[in-house]
Amino acid sequence: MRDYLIIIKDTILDSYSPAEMQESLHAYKNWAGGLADQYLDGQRLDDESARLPRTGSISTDGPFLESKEIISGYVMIKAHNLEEATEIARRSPLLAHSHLEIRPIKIMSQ
Amino acid sequence: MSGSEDKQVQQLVDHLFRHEAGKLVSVISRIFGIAHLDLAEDLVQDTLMEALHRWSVHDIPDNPAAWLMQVAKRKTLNELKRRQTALKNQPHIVHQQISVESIDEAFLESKIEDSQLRMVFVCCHPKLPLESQIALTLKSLCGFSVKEVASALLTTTSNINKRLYRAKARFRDLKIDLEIPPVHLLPPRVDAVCLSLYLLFNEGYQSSHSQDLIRKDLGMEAIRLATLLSNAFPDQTKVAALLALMFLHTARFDARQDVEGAIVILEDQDRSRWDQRLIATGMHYLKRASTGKVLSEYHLEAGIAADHCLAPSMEATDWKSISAQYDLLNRMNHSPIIAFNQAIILRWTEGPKQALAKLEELQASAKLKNYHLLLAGIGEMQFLLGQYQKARACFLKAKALTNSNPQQELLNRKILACEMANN
Repeated sequence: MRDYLIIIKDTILDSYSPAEMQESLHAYKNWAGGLADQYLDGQRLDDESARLPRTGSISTDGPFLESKEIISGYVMIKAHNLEEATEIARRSPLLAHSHLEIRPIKIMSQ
Repeated sequence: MSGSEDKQVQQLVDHLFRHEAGKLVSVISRIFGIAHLDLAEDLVQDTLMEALHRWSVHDIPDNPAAWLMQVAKRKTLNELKRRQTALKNQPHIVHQQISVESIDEAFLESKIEDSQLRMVFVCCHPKLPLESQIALTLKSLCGFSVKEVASALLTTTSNINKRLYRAKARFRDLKIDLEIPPVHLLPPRVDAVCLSLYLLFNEGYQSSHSQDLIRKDLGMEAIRLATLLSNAFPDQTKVAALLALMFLHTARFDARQDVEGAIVILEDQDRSRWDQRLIATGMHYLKRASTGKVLSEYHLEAGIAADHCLAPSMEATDWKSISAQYDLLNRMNHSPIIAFNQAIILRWTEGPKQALAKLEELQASAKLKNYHLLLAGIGEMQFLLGQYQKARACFLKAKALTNSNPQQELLNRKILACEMANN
């Protein structure tokens, strides 16, 4: 197995109700708990943000990401391949509120 | 997050976030004043988000409510510091009398119920339009979002936002704030709260299985708040009577509808599906209400509900007792709806012919002109007397007067029964 990063992207800054938050928490814990050892880490990113343009780029290069999309967190999991990792992500409750991008963490040759 | 496979996934108590949200909004509003209700709600929202993020990746604490309180308190203290810093640069503005000590005190376990009570009295203030009272109660005391309130009350978020906005404007204009009414004003203020909670309960009671679950929660919230009030003022027997009423009605909720959400009328209900524990609780409150000198409409409505709940069948129901209570109700409040209910009972005490006569008399009442149940009642009596074509016509008219799908569905069944009987 190798490590995969599930990048969580929000397009709408939803305001959740207390009931929705509790439901969301349960769903997440059920999903993560079900993954057992395949779940490595998961974090939310805080709102403060700083962006640096690449050295030498000019201001009309535009935003680096679609300005509407905000990366709000990530989950790191172990899986046998991208298909399995994607399947795991598909079953997650994160999809209710976010877009997900699944990327393998590059394996460096020894 | 530890990787132990056998670890049971931790659960939170049902509605914990919602109920704690209500509590926390009450406490923080007590500290900053009702004019800063939005601020209180923001701080609570931040607290819950923090819990959501932290408890997703770490273990849920043993005492989640206490954790939420601590974090909310910290955020409140930070907000106070922020304001004091801001005000330092504007010495001509009088500092609000909030201290760290007052924050410590407001967050004490023993003071939390007091804050919630104040919130109940403010949300159900008689100077607010009833619609605003209910919207405000659901939003600020019960932890519903605007969208959830709109969904629960079968209206739009725009409508709810308007009601909330108007309520907050009233607070400012009338200088209403969070306080327990003085003893001499308590009875009318308690009355106002009872009315508000009664209406809230009624909204939930009208809901059907096919609707959002959130509607069913309304009844539970009304009971929860009435219980809070009753515990604080055990001598206010009206509240106990209201609680009795709410428990007795809730006891029959599941039997009132079949699996598809179609209405099952009282005489067809499977009484074994009535919740006996809820009936017992209702009777307990009715007993408590039956002390003192006050006899209110809630007492009578609860008494009637009790007579139904304790009866093994329609035929074995104590109609005499029910009839007497309706008589008293009618004397308290000449409502054509009460007269209508009395007429319906005649079917069981005397017979369909007498009931029909009474019901037809009521058609003259202006208030009942568009009351679909009156026409349905007349149709029902005509059906029992074999007047199938007349009955069918009445049921059709009744159908045109109601928007409720379950009600229309019930009337369709009645119309079909008329058509089959006629052949």
